[in-house]
Order: sequence, then structure tokens, then C-alpha cells
Amino acid sequence: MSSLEALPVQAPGLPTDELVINMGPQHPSTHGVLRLVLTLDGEVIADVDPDIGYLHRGMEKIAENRTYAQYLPYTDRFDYLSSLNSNLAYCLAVERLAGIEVPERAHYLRVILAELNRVASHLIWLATFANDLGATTVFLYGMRERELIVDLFEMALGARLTYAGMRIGGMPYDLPDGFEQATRDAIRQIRPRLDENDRLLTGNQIFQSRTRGVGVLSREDALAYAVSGPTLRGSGVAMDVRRADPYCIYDRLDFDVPSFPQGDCFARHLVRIEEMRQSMCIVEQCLDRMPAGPVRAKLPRAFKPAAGEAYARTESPRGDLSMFVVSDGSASPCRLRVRAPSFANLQALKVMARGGKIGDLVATLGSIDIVLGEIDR
Amino acid sequence: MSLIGDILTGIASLFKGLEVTLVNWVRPKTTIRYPWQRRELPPRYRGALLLRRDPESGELKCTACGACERICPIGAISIEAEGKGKERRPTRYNVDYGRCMFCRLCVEECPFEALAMSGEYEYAVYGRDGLVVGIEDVGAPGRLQGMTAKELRGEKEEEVVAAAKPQEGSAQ
Amino acid sequence: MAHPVSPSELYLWLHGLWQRAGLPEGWWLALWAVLVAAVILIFVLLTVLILIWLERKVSGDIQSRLGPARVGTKFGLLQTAADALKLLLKEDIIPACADKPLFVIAPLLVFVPAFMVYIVLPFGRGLVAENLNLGVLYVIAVSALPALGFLMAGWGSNNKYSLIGGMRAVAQLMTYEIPLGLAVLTVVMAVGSLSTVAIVAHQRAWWHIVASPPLAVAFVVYFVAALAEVNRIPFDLPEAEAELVAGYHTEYSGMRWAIFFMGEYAYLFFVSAFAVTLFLGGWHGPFLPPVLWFLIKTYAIILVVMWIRWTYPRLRIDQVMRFGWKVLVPVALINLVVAGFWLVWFAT
Repeated sequence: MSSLEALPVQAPGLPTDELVINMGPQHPSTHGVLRLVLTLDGEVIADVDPDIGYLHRGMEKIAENRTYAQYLPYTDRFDYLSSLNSNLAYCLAVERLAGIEVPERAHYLRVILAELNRVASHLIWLATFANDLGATTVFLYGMRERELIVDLFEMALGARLTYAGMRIGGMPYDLPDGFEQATRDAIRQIRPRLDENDRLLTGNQIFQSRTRGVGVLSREDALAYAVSGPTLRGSGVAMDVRRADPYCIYDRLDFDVPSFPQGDCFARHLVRIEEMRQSMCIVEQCLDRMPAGPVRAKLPRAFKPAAGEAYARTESPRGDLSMFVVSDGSASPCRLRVRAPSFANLQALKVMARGGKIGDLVATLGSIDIVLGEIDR
Repeated sequence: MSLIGDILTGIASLFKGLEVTLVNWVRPKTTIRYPWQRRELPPRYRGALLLRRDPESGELKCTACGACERICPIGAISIEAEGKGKERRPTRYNVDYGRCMFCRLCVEECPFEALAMSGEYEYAVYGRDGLVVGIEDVGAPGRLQGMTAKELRGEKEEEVVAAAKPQEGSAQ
Repeated sequence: MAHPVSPSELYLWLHGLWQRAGLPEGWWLALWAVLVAAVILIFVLLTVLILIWLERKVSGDIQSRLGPARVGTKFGLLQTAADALKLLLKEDIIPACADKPLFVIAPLLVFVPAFMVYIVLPFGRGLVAENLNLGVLYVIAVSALPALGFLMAGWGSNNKYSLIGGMRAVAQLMTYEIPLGLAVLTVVMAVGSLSTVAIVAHQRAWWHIVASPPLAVAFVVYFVAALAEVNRIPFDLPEAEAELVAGYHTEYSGMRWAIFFMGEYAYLFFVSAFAVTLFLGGWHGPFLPPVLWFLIKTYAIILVVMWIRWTYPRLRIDQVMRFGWKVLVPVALINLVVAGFWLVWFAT
């Protein structure tokens, strides 16, 4: 049961028809409002055509009608599962545009929150991925572990999903008392539970036969489609924006960037599990080294950055999340462009799913980990 | 033979999975039985808006300056006021909860420490019009009173926030 | 502990009353058949209610949450009844271009066989509806009928998803009938009779599962094949929600869907009870009344089945087929041969 042999699709000489099926915008496992038009040859997928746009909200246009400070809560809603990373990308872009120097402590706080959000986002990914494959229990376990992290965010920021947890110039306010202890406790509880989920899922024979050799993305294809994040690192390219183009204080932190060469769903699964562990290490390092000090740079009352443009790259849990801001000297951005990692990653679905079966498509789509909010904006 | 090894590892992995679920089967459950039990909210929780009063005079601190109305990204706040200068007070302070995204920018902008976000999250109504609420109408007594901007930033000039006890309804 | 009145004595006494009243014999047979069927139907429906509640409670417990906990005391005992009531009140939708006769008959073809097979289950000493001397063969034959029902549902729904789901269900069921039959055949060989009562009586000294290694292997084969027959994870692809919405019963709503659901749970209880009959000693056991032992053992197997369901992911359809044909059938065949040799060499 360990290797996937290609079954002959049809007996030679027997005429068959291709079936066009719509995996519609409402579907239990398309992770949002994504429409996939499948062309099937029996059980084998001949072609996948993603149809996006069902969640388009005109976010980039809205940015032109809001001030820089007002727009920050909107950035939560791009990748709503890791909204702090989107906040961070936006703040970095605007700070680079206006030449604002962020205090040291704010950098540490930002990294702590972003990495905790990475763990929370990967836990949701694990939960939904396992749910798509039938292991409903892991869904509940992932959500249970995520509750520990979301409680931390609620303690520090007041919200549980869309945090608006950063401001231009730093952080809105400092962490509350007891946050550090609560974070260390939460990490201490999550680590063994990750191992437990590993025993339940990663080593499981059935899970391995569903994910090994499934949805293979070769290294060349991954680079050609501008894939990034765990999807890329699962294809053997150890590229991480936190290492390649460090922002905040990532250049001072000690962490590994996991990558595996096989390019299948299992490799991407391993990458994300390992990333969760690395993120928790990063959080502990930051908690140890964080200096005291202010958490926000002083901004003028009417914030009008000089005309110009700036581009900031970050590593969100899904890949390379970058924002490009253009200012014309007024209080609102002239243009905001978001480079969403899931948009590029979804393009690679065609290549990954071709030749597989419908069951493989579900596993592959789950392992790419897309969020429609940032694809459609 | 590695095939036998593979088979045995595969079967062993199946049993390991069963062991994990068995362990969790007998662990205590994490469900909180809402509405008979409620979570204790942290002081910084972002619930419905609340207008603070001055502890000595009992007057609203809000002077209807409109800073919150201007900063709100989505136009959820609308204020009607009367009076001038220091005597200016709001006659009507409406928040449209159909629009509000609970970002707390208004609280942070308020120069008079008049706004806070309370622990109120149960204000469902039957019609969308009911979501436009005069802000004095929400904020059940005994609920979390929220934190103003200075309190969030840790500048403890105001009174210490009143931590709420979770509301006990009739137990089941 | 014997019954105060044995069931056969009860039957003879009632029959005697009937004959003394001078009523015709044919009517007696008809009345008795209807009575037995009614009792079994009530038992099946009650069992289904209990099983659905149990599944939700077990899944809740494994998943660190409560499960039904409001309707009917804090254990949610009336939850299934409430859901059944809701389903009864739902609108009966038949898709516009559906094949109406097929669409309507399909759920019945799935539920009725699941209830028919209970006739040969020995619930206790002498407590069997009909001691067919071809009991096991009857079970295997009737168990093949639901496959037809799935195919009718898939085709009659006029829906590509349903068709694919129906075809997958039939392929899976046909494949796993074979190892199921072979495992059962191993037991029949050891006992020398197709009658379920005789099989249970044969286990008075030792349960079959510990009596000989081939029978233990046969139990494992039977268990896995039974999981596939009842469409339980890891073999539940035909109705996998994540893949094809809901497979062959996508278009069914309300009471029609409920009948599919009931059929599945009735059949689940049956295959567990059948496993108990064939391998785990039936109603044999010390101290407690036999019926209680039977139920305890059956529910133990059901709990294991549910435990498995909430632990593993599901297999893809081609992996299901490959496992069935390339692993389970050869193992079952070889086991049958070995069991034959075992009987000859170690015959007791």
C-alpha cells in the first residue's frame, strides 16, 4: 500500500468520454469560496481550472480612500488566519515609505506575535487538512491547541481572529502583565500535543498512503510558478524570506528553515509541522532577549509621508507576503498592491493535480493551504 | 525482509493512533457550557463601546469632539452634540454595530479618555435597524468595564479597571 | 441463570391456546410471523436510536468535547428522537429529472435487508426469531441487496456526484463481500453447520477467536471486511463529505435520508452482533443472563468500530480496491486452506 502505481485509465480501443464536474464555490473542502472546474477521465483528473473572485471586496481600492492609520484593520482581512503577518507587512511597507524608525522592543513584540500567529495558522491548516482526509478528530485537537494561542492574543490585544495588533511606528501598547508566563505555559502545553498529533497522524499508515507521492510539485515547476512558503520548501528549495531578506530582528535569531525534497503532500506536511516547532523556539528566544523600552515611534498628528514608493517582503505562514505602497504626499496611499502568496501557490494546483484522482485533489489543495481572502482581496 | 518490516511498522502506526485517541477519550473535556457557564474575559477584551463617566461628578467625559468619528475606518460612529467648548456634551452617540469591526482605533484616538470597549458581546437583535445603538444602551452592570487608551498603554492615571465576574445564569 | 420460562415453552403455550380456541393453523403462522417481525423492527429502531446517540457521545469524548448534552437530561438522551422528529417534518424533495421509482425505492432496498438479517441472530439461549439451518448463507445472500440500493440511489438522483458515489459504493461492497464470505466460511468449516444457533453452541467450551489461530485470523479479516461493508472509516469514501459532498445520498433529504442512515446503523449493529455470534461466543458467559452477555459483547465491538472511525483518515477508492483484492482476499483464501489443515490435524 506504500507506492502509488498509475492504473491504466482505459482499455485500449474502448471509447470513453471526459466528464466535466464543478467543485462549486460551496464545497466542504475547497477552503473558502473557490470554484474548481474539473475535467475527469473516469477517476483520473485530466485538468483543473480554478475560478476565483468570489471573495473579491475591492480591498486595494478601499486603501486609496482611507488614511494610513485607518487602513490597518483592513489588512487583517486579507489572510484572516494569520492577520498579524498581514498587519506586519503593511506596517513595514509604510514605515519604509516614510522612513520611520521603530523602537527595538517593538521589533521583538512584532516577532513574538507574528510567530505565535504562524503556529496558530499552521494548527488550523493541520486541522482542516486532516479533516479533508477523514481524520475528524485531528480537526478538534488542532482547534483545541489553537485555543491556547488565541487566548494569549485575547489577553494581549483583545481579539481572537482579526487583531489589528500593530500600528505604524510599532505596537499600539505593550504586553500585559502575565503575558510572558502565559506564553511559556502555552508553549509548554502545545509541544507535547504536537508530538501526539504526530503519532496520531504523521506516522499513520493510512495518512502516509494518502499523502506520499501525491500532488508532486517538482523543483523546477515550483520556481517557475513563483510558489513560496511551505509549498516551495516542500519541493526542496530552502527559501524563506526571514533568512533571505530579513526584516524586524530575524537576522539575530537562531532557527532552522525546514525543507524536504520530495515535493509531495507529505513533504509539505512535514515542513509545516517542523515550522511550528521552530516558531515556538523563536518566541522563547524573543521572550528571553526582549529589552525594555518604548513600543511605538512618535508619529506626526497628520501623517502624510513624502511622495514615493516602498515594497516590504514578509514570510507569512503561506509564503512570501509583500506589500507595495505608493504615496503622493497625501494622507491616503495613492496605490496599495498586495502580493498574496496563496495566489501564486494556487496556480501550481494545475500541475500538481493533473494525473491524480479526486481524492488526491482534495489532499493536494489542503496541503497548499490557501486562504481565499488574500487570493481575491 | 523490508516488506515485512514495512507491514509491521504500518500496523504498529495504526495502534499508536488508537492509543492517542484512547488517552484523549478519558481526559477531561474542554467544553464550556454556554450560556450556563461563561468564559472570564481578559481586561483588554474588545466588546461593545462604552462611554466613561467622571468618577466625581458623574458626568460623561465625552465632549463630542468627533475624533473617534473621524478615525473610524468604516463610519460606524455618529454623534449629535450641543454646547460649546468644555461644556459640549453629546445628545446622541450612535454606534452602528452592523458596521463596527471592533478595531479599537476610536478608543485610542479619544483625547479625553472617554471611550472604552466593554466585555459586552451579547447584543443580537431581530432586525438590522436594531444594531444602531445609542451607546448608553449597552454595557450591562457587572460586566467588564473595558480599558481606555491610557490604561491600555499602561499609564495608570485612571482608576483601575473593574475586572468582571463571569455572569452566572441558572445552572443546568 | 436460565429464563424463568424458556422462549420455546412460551411459544408452545401460546400455540396451545390458539389450537384450543379452534383457530386455523395457517393464521397462527401468519400472526406469529407478524409478531416476530414487529418485535425485531422495534428492537432495530431502538438500537438505531441508541447507536446514533452513542456515536455522537463517543465522538465527542474522543474529540475533547461533550456531544449531545442538552436535550433530555445532561446526557442528551433524547437528542436522536428530537432529530428524528425534525427529519419527519422536513419537505420531501425529489429532484426534477430524477428517476422517480428508482429514487423512491433505493432507501428501502438499503434499510429492509439490514433489518431482515436480524432474524437469524441468536440473542440468547433459545431466543432466535427463526433458526434457519442455512442461517449464514441467508445472511450473506441478503447482505448483497444494499449494493443494489446504492446503485439505484446513485443513478436515480440524476446527479454526477451521486453517480460516482454510487459506483464507488457498489465496487467497494462487491469487493469486500468476498473476504467476508471466506472468513465466515472458515467458521462454518470449523463448526460443520450453517446454522447460527449451532455456531454459538459450538463455542460452549472455547470462543472461536481463541480456539485456533486460523479462526483468529478469520476474525481480523471479517472485522476489516465488515468495516468496508458498513461504509465506515477507513472505508467510507462512498459517502465522504470532503470529496463528493455526500456521495450517493447527496440528493436525499428529510425522511428518505434518515432511512439510509438508519439502514447503515442497523447494519452496523448486525455485523457486530454477527461477529459476536461467529467468533466471540455468542451469548455464552458466566453469571449474567445470556441476552445481557450478547448485548455487552456486541456493544464492545461497536465501541471499537467507533474508536477506529474517529481515529483514522479515510482511504482513497483505488487504495480500498487494491487492499481488498490484493491483500484481504489472498489472506482470507490462505487462511481458509490453513484452517482446513488445522481441522484435519487437530480435530477435537
